[in-house]
Amino acid sequence: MIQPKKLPLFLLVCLIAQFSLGQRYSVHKEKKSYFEFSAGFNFSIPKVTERYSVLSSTDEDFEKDYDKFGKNTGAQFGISYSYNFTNAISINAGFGYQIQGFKYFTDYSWNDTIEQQNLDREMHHIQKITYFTVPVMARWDMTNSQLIPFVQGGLFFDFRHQARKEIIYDNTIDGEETENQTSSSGKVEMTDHTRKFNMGLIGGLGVSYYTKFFTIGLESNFKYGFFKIIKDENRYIDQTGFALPYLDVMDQFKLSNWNVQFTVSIPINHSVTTNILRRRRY
Amino acid sequence: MKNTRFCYTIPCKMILLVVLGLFFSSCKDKYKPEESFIKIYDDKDGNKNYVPLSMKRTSDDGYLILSAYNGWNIHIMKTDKTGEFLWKHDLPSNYVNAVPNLIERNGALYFVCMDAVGLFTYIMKVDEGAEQATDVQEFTQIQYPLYVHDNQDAVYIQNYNRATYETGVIELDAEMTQIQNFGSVQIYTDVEDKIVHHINYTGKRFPFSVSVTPENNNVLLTGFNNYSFSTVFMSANLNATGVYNGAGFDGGLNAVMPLGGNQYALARFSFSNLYFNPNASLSPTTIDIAESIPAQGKSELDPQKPVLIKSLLINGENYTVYLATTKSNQLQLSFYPQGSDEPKALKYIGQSVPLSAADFSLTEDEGLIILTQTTVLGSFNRIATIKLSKEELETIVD
Repeated sequence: MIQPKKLPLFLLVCLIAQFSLGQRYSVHKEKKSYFEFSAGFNFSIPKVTERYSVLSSTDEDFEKDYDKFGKNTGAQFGISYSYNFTNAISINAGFGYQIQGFKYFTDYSWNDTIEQQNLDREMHHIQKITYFTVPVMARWDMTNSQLIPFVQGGLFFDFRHQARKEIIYDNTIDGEETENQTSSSGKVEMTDHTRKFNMGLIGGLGVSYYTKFFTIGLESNFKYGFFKIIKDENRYIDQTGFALPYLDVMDQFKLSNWNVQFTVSIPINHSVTTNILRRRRY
Repeated sequence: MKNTRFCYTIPCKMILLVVLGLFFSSCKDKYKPEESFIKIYDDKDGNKNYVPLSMKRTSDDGYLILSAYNGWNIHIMKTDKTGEFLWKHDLPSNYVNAVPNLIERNGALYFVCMDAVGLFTYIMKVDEGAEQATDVQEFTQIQYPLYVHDNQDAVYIQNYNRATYETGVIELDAEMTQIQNFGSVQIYTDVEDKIVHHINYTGKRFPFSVSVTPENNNVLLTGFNNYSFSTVFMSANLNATGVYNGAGFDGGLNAVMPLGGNQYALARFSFSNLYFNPNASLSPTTIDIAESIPAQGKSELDPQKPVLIKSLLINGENYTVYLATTKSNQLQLSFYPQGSDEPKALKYIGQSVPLSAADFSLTEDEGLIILTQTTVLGSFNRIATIKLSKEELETIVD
């Protein structure tokens, strides 16, 4: 008896088994080219290298508390071109647009024991940085069956498009956005607080399913950015206007990213004539 | 075949060059954290209410800040060159009413304050090693100190003498150990309640000041005189020679900086209006009213907040720089090229958060540091520093 919670997993396994075991064709794509369309979601992982704060005190530190990567959601889409040197080895270069999000949390508290003028303030900081991204990867297909697992790796080049920030605040320090208390700073531009270029390593794995006319796939990649994200020189120029009212300046950090995306590829020459799929010989 | 290889290798090399260029340009890191910053010095104690008064650079490139808290109590604090808090010290309760400004002498910093009971004057020396300040000299004959000016050759203290109803100017020697000279002007109305409110921060803070002309031939005393808040010209031996009388206590000079000759950069107020003249001609022997001095109205500025005037060298050019506070609680910097009546540049700092000017100066790296009071989250008055980098400063006046 299958538990209801495990039903989706069971169905997925069945589906993969169906695709894998029922494959009657092998894939022959040496010296073939593809256009690929991809779209998916991502999670960002900021790695803080230097911390900055507007408030300064010997009594406490004012370190920001960054959200776990599961809450740092974003999305991406793009197109790419791939060329298969052999049946197993290909190179893939693309152009995409990626939204990377990350959040952090700050809280402040003051006690007035004489006039009872106490104040608690909790702030949820939401940042979105968008990049035009150029990934260049080499890919190794593990089999030549219709369902092909693969690994890929290479470099990426990110060119910042824009960055925005919003602060949601309330007066109850509980780590949550307290209902009926929250107010928002509104979304403001912070593009000039971020650096224009980043590059790094990208690698991941996935599966592709080949048909005569198109290929669908699911892949997951990890991007490790080499460079700092925040423009140090502009930190206190305070173009967001958040430094004094919200006691906020950005830390310095590197941004890594884990993405999951669906892909659809079409051969540049029609697969029927190029004879990508050939019946297996048993 | 040879041509085909050529076609591939040239673009590949170019792409590689672009990638390497981007890589190395992104690796470059010229940033120095001390170049610019905004720091608010926090105190979790919501009862504390700070008013910054003066700031000086220390020998280790940090900054020492002199402030009042909860009225006339005295607070000193030290930051490093990046503006980060290092230590603070609240002085014992017998030391009160610190007056602007901090004085630097032989690498040490001093300030002037008052005894809470005897109302007389202490000279305090800041001991950075012990993170405290100790009195090194007391002048029992100087009551109610209101302002101190350091001329390097001498130190001038303005005071109010409650026994003789006089505003005095006391000239100390450069080491601040003895009185060299003394001058005073008579007050013919009761101002002690105004003085008490001033030093307790419970009422209007009057812009008391003392300054000396570059030629050392005149001392300017801005304080209570006769029946008004006036600017009195004194000779080098501290005899009164002329006066610009204010409109009772609702007019007069907020700030005055002698430029040499008979030229002065000044700010004057009249009730709720503030006026600037960066190049005013004043006569040291005249008897006139302050409101007759020609000046440009500054409708957006708050005359009740301090106005500071300094001469700064920015990008090789001398500027007379005014720091004032707008009625909407922003800071405004006005940059007047030397000899010009029109500002070359204005810079507003802050928005939607109350700021109040306290002090400013050029820094070692040719940036500008501003000492200000801010209200954290609209609730608590705290000390803050704002540092503009050399590049920012040059961009403002460019």
